[in-house]
Amino acid sequence: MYYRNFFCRASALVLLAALITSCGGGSAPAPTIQTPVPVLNNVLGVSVDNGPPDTGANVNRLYTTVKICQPGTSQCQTIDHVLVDTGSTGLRLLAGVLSAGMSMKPLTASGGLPLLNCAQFVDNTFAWGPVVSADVVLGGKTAPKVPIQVMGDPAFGSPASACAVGGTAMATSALLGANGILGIGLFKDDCGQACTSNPHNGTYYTCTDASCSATKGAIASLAQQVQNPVPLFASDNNGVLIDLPTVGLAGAATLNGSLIFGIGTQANNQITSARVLKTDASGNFTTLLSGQTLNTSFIDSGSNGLFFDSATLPNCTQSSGAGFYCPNALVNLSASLVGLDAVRMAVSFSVDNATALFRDASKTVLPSLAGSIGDTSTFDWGLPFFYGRRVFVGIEGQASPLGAGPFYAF
Amino acid sequence: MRNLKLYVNAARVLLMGLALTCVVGRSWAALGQAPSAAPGSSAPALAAGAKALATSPVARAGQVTVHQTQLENGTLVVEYATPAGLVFAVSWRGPVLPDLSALLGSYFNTFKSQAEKARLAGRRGSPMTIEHDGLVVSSKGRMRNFFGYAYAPDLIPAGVDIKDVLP
Repeated sequence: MYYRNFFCRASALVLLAALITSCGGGSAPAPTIQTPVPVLNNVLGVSVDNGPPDTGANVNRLYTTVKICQPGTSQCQTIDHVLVDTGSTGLRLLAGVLSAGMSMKPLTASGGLPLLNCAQFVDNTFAWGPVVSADVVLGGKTAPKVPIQVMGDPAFGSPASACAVGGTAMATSALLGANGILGIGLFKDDCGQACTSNPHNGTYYTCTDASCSATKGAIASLAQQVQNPVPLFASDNNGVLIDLPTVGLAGAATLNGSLIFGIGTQANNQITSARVLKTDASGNFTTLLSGQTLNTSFIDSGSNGLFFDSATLPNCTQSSGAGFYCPNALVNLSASLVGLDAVRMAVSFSVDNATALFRDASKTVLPSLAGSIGDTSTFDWGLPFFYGRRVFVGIEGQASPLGAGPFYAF
Repeated sequence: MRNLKLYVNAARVLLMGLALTCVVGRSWAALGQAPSAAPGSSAPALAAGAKALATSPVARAGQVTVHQTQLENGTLVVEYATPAGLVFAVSWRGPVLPDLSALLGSYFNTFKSQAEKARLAGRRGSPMTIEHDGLVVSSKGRMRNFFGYAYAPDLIPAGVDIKDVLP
């Protein structure tokens, strides 16, 4: 009410001011009365910063804040520094950051025992833990009863060896560099049909006894699988728009942007100049770079650099910068991204000396950070690709003004 | 597309092969060791808990023996061995990772420590490329779609270019 009154008065004042101004006559430009922009509920703030305290070197990592609730109740918890990852699917939260009131009962596999989930990542890490149901609140949008993963729950402490494959369990914020992962990529679920009939799918497991002393493979229906929450919204559910401002090549301490839900559904997610980059069923497309045809290329906000092979860019030799390129001076490059339907989009990017970039530890936004990938067919367009762009992510099978996903558009 | 290329490569190897090598009775499929067992065995090294559906040895006489193993979880593992039966390279592609600790054998610790080093240096959530201490690894992709390879440069037979061997 207060706001409404205030609003009316403010509008009257603006109108009055406008009248007075216009009475002044002369050559002054015609005044405009600004109509207030309604606050849209489909926006979630995102930022690049140094991550949760004491979690190591976090550069080019996009974070947001999510709220989860016990299904159908107002018992909720807000969790900051959750990674925004277009390369994975579903919400995964560390057991250690969940408050006591948020202990949620796991979904059960066909044998009636807890359904366990394995998410592997390419950096020799994995997430292991039960699938639980939660209402997921992202900004003003709520997805009810979403299967999410609780990572590193000590009650399910022994990961299946086929999940771990010798890697490191993402069981603490220090290891993950985040409190969770929000997978909002091209897909609706983390496995798909493959896990609905074959218990040896490598992604879903269950306990062999009530104390969960051992585990075995399990099937999971699509509805039980860890889900991208966006398609479960009542509206604004056909994809997302990641909108990050431009960053100078010198980098920046932090960066703030928006994760907007829906494609062409509200005033803030309209397609103005974006063109569609259609991917194959695996989410891949082709990158043309320096005469190379890299036909298993992908875009991934969870990769923290641009990763591709180069005949000319040297690897860093110092431990600071290990795994990244270290050219003597800034190198400017350009590539073409080619979708399934042969639509070509030119992208320019720069590569700088990572050891030099890391010298200023206060900078967590490094647009020219790049490294090798060891492959003549892949370009991994990580978070730097998103800087200065409005990137639409079209979810598989969801209709939008740009067609049905999977696609990227920018 | 890549899968297709793999099959085309495999077919080429088959065509060029003068003899079909069949390694039976061996169960370990690790870098620096003998190739994996024939179909029907448990092939524990490929992925604990994930049985091999089929192992098909194909050969290029005198140079490289290629073993393809389709795991139950949908991932294809290929081992590249010398005629003497020493695996000098492995590659994989599929929805989940194979058991790298078994696949890389005694080289795995190098991979693990280097992967950790890269993560600590700031390369997080990102593909792995490692060239260290006689081991080369490239592991990339993301959920539902992983692919990569590993090889030991010192074990590559004379006259074989690794670029011709890997998919």
